[in-house]
Amino acid sequence: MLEIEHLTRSFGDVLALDRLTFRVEPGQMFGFVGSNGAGKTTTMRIVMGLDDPDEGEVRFQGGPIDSEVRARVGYMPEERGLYPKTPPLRQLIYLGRLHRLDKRTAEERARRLLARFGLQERMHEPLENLSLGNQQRVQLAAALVHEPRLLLLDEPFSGLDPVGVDALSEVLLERASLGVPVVFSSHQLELVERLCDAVAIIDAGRLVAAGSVAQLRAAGGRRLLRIEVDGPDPTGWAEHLPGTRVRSRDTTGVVVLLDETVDDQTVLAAAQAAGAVRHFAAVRPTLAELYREAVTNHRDTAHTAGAA
Amino acid sequence: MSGTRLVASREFTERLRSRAFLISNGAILALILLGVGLPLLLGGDGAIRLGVVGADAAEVGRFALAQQDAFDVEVELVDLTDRDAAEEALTEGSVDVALLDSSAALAEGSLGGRLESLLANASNAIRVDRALAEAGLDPQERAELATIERLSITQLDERDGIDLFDPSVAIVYGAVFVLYGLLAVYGQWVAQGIVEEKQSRVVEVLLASLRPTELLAGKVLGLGGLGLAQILLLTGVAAGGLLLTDVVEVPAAAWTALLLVIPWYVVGFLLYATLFAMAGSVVSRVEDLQSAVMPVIIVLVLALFGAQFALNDPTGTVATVAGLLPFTAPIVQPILFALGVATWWRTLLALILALGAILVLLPISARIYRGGVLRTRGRVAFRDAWATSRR
Repeated sequence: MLEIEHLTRSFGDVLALDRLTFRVEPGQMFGFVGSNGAGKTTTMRIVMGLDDPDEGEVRFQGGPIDSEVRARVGYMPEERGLYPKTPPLRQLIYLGRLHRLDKRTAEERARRLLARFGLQERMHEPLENLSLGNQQRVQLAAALVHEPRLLLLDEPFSGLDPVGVDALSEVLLERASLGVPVVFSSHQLELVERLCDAVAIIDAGRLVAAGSVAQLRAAGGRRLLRIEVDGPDPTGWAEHLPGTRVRSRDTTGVVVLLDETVDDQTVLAAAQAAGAVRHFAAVRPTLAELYREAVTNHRDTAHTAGAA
Repeated sequence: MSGTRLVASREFTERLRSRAFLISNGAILALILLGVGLPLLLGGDGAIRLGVVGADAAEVGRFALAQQDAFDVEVELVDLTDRDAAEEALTEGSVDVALLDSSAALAEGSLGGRLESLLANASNAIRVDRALAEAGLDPQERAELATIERLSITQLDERDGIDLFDPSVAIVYGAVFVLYGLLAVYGQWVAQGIVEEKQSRVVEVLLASLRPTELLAGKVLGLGGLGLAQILLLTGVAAGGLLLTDVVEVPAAAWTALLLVIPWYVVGFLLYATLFAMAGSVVSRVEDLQSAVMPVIIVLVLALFGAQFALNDPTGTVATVAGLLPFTAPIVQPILFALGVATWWRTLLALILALGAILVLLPISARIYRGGVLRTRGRVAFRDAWATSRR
């Protein structure tokens, strides 16, 4: 289990992390979501010991993260880092050995990973001769070569084609199924929603929401209904319904946001009064919608608090 | 420690693999072999073949043989039947010069001062010898008079005593120049390696499993080790070549100085590596490296000037001081030793001073490195790197 506890870090006047706290369970696929500059990279760098927090601490399996533990972490930095002139195979063997593997094991795993990412033909060429997507694959292999106990990947999917995304997803899910916590940041929220057991949304260095996507939906406490009515006025009937708000409308129907006090059966009755109801169903907000909502609310609150 | 070893072996082998390294080393080796072997190829055993036509010429030849040492020339006699044979021998190169009688010679081009003087003297000696014979002196007395004693010359200003073409000086100067080149190249590789790892951000991956000091130590040891292997190879080839071909006679002091270049390389590399590492730690892009290492290069060039100075004025204050100061001693001290002006205790003192400087600079350099290695944007002020140094 990885525990991030009250991390605070400021750079000059900028508060990059503000008492950030969350935990990642063993075997969890954990999506780390937030806008650029929200503090994701700073958090990962602190976990890797590349930066020190002003306050707070990071624990892994109950103890502090020291260099022995870090040697068993697979880390992919935001700005990719490998030797441009060294061929992938030699590069991975070197990194594997730095992570305490013996030479033969390092070479065996390096070859296996490169084959898995479809790079067996290119593994003796200087890295810089490879396309950016392929360099990215090598970078991922570098984070995986020592079969880490914790994976910490900063934007691992950016720059990958769909085949690469699938190959990486598969590898990550496989590691998670072995009990390895997998933390990755991404702006591709559909991907995060599809892959992750849990997400943390951060904004301006603060945790805005955390939990499974289902929990985030429930925590929102909001109910959205899409209703399609076959009648003279398919959308207008919802206009002045008490306790509801029309979120969006199109030619065939409306999406209505219900207050907590409103019974959805009341809404159904109102719809039936307007005509034949063809569609009446709850709309599940996507992670992207939840994210926007959470960040907007958070900023409103922060703004109000700042103004008061 | 095993991390340091891995880094060191990577630095060693990656550089060794590079084509530029192999080509430049091949070129240096070829130059050394050429320098050692060329005189052998061109000069044969070095003797000038002196053709003689007739009895008079043969007599001049015998005088020339007797006096050759005084003129620093080596001659051997080749008997020729007549002028035509002499011309033919000259054309085909079997003789270098042919004496036709006691006062005339044939040559393809000019003879060079010493040979010409020798022949003129020998030809003159015959006339003197004959006059002395007529005066009744016996052959023993005449031979004694014909022997040329070298003048004993006392130099008032002993500074002029250094001959740049003196083989021992030339050998040691060559070795010191190679030493200078290795310090500059390997030192810059340390700085360049640091910046390349910062620029490519691979340092963030490396530092997940290595402490910064392990990474720095590995880099310095790996590159320094490669440089040591190189200087051992180069001095070994040069020394072997000199021994085998026997082109020049190398005095004992020069051999010792040549050997001393090796410990001086080790000390000099460690010393300069600390400076180069600091320069590399504070920049983030290879393009900015040149300006950062410039001060270090200037110190190194000053040391080379110091070596020139020591050659011109080995007992002067500048040479004495430069031979002791840590940053100039590695280059200047071997020269002073070869010239015979540096005693063992002075060499020892210079080595101790240099080692002391290393002990002082190493922790400073490591601290600057720790402070700067993760600052991958822009240039870091030394003061900031010092203050923010971690772990």
